[in-house]
Amino acid sequence: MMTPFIGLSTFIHILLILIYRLFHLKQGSHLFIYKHRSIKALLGLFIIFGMFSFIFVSAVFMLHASVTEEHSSIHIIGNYINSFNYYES
Amino acid sequence: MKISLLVPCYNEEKSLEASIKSCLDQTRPFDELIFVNDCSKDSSPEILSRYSGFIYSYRTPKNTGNKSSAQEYGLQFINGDIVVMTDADTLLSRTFVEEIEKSFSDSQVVAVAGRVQSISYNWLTLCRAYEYAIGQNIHKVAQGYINYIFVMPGAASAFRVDAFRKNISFDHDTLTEDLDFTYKLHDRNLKIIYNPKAISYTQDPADLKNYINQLRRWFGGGWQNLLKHYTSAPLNLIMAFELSLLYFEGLIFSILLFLIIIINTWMALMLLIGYLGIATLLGVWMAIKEKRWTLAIAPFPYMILIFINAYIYLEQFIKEVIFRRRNLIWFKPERLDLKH
Repeated sequence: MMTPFIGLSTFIHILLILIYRLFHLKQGSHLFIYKHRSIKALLGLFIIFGMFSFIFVSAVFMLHASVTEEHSSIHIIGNYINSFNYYES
Repeated sequence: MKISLLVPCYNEEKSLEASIKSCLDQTRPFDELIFVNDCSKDSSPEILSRYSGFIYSYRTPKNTGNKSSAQEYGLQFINGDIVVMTDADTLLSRTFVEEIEKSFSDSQVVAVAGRVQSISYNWLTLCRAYEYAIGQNIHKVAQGYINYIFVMPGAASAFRVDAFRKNISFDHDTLTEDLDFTYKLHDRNLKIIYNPKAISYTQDPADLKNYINQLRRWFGGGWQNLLKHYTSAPLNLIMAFELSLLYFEGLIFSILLFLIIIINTWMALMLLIGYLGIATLLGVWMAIKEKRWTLAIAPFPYMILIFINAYIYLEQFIKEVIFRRRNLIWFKPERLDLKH
């Protein structure tokens, strides 16, 4: 395996298997075939960018949830500092 | 169709005899068995000479220090139409050659990836077996559908000899030659298929030191090959899809794994429990599919390994991609006794 752990890619590959089996697509047939080199290159870059965005947005979503959640160390440190401010005031 | 076998070996006395026996004990025998002794210092030459009536063994002029150089040396002696490449710590299933021959009945097929199973030793090899099961029952099957087998396993792969000689050069510039071969075949739009019935049983590291060193080679080699071949990706849509999915996921989620623990330990724990649940469901599915029941409990020790895997993945990214410190020193894990 070229990934360090079982993750999103596993589920995307399960989806691919389901798509090919449900729609009885022929093994080895590509979903999209573009012969023109420049269109292909553009589409290739679009796929790479799309994949990066999808994974990056998923990661940012999880990161955001962990920061805003009540047990976040940022919250705990913030509350600790605030408690000092409260006693001082 | 003449089928040859090519096995490089260096200090393989613990596993070599069992490996030779498994290669000879085939329902459809090999037409030619070639073992390349890379100047072994143990009793490997004596073992090879005991089987001289059944196999050909050639000794490299000097120790090459890596597998691909020994393979390159051995390839000149191959006379077959198909060459099966495997390792001296690997056992082939009895129907391996028969299955390979069936796969090559389609004249368009240039290479066949077999299925690798890890020989059971302990919890570490169980985790590796779990990864292989997911990789081969999910990733490789899907990759077969979209006509993009990501990697031909070094322990179980077969090539048409003329196509191999014409399209694949031994560059010796990466740590994972099997991945380099696969990229080269994809670059030339040659057909690779996966045959799950061509099974080989391989030894994986049974202690953490060897496991970590093997991961460094695999991930380091993965990044080296990505740097070598990434320019082909935009012109091959499926390659663009597979590479960006696997490498972005590995990189971003490895960083995230450590970041969330620092930011929110409680949430990290909850996420890991959820992840363990999903991994266990996959483990049960794989246990049923592979008829290897221990796979159902593999996700529990696997939870420890994901941290080691993620750390090594990031370490090799920093070394190979950011600092461009190309490491080409071959690592050979310690062998364990193997019986056929």
